[in-house]
Amino acid sequence: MHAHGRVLRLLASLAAALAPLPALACTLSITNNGALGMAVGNNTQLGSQLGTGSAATLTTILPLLSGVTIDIGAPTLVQQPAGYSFGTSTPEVAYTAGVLNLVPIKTQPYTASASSFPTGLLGIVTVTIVMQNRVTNTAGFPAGHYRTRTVVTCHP
Amino acid sequence: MSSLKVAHLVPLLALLLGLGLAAPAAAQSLSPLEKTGVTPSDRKAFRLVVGNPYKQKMTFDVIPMQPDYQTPATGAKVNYPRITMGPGISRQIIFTFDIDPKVKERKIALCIQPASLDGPILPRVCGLYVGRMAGRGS
Repeated sequence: MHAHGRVLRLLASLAAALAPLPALACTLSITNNGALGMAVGNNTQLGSQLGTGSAATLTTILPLLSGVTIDIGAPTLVQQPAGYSFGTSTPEVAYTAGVLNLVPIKTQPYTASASSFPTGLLGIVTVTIVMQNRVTNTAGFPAGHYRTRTVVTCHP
Repeated sequence: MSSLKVAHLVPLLALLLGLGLAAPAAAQSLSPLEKTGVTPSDRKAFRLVVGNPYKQKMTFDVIPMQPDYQTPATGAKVNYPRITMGPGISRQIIFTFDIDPKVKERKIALCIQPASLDGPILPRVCGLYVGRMAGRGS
């Protein structure tokens, strides 16, 4: 029992030592920008899961006991070549968020709308978000540079 | 029995230590994310810390917003609306905003975002702050 009590006191001391960390803070950084690709023989869709495309990755670092909300905005197409027809152009985003890339928090299938999720409070220090983008357009994609934009917001 | 419990607590200790080390104070983008304060006048100021978590020098825009985090706010300013910092560097900023004397309370957001990021993701960290005029009551 005494040993147990000492360990509990040690835990309390450790928690006190960690107290100088901010009560609530958020660090949001991009570790991989991702890229759009195109499937061979299909000119109606660009996507990070097609052809040479790759997913974007973000990391959120939170102090102990700091829960925040992550908003994933509706994606938009911000760069396209001249002559591009916006008629049926639909940018979409999908993502998975997990603690240390191990414990899943949220899996969002492709959507054209904004979404959000809370990180939760206990023991969450690093939340990794793997994000996929795609744009569908039945009018096709003329040759050129395309870029989507998704705003990711960490807030209380 | 006690030694068994102690053995169970050792991984918890290690986890706590690891968690503490994984949250470097110098790497935060905005801190604190929430704050409430009272002011004797119709203006309130908060001292906040902005940090650069990237491995290169970065310039950030510091933008007062309505609490919806979408609409820019008027009647508010920061002493460094655009701030450039080296990797791992944190700096204090002063965020000041007016409070309507008729309402005597204002909730306002402040968002930090990279000033020139050409990538497909625009990361933002936003805090939410409340200023109350003294004598408003509870």
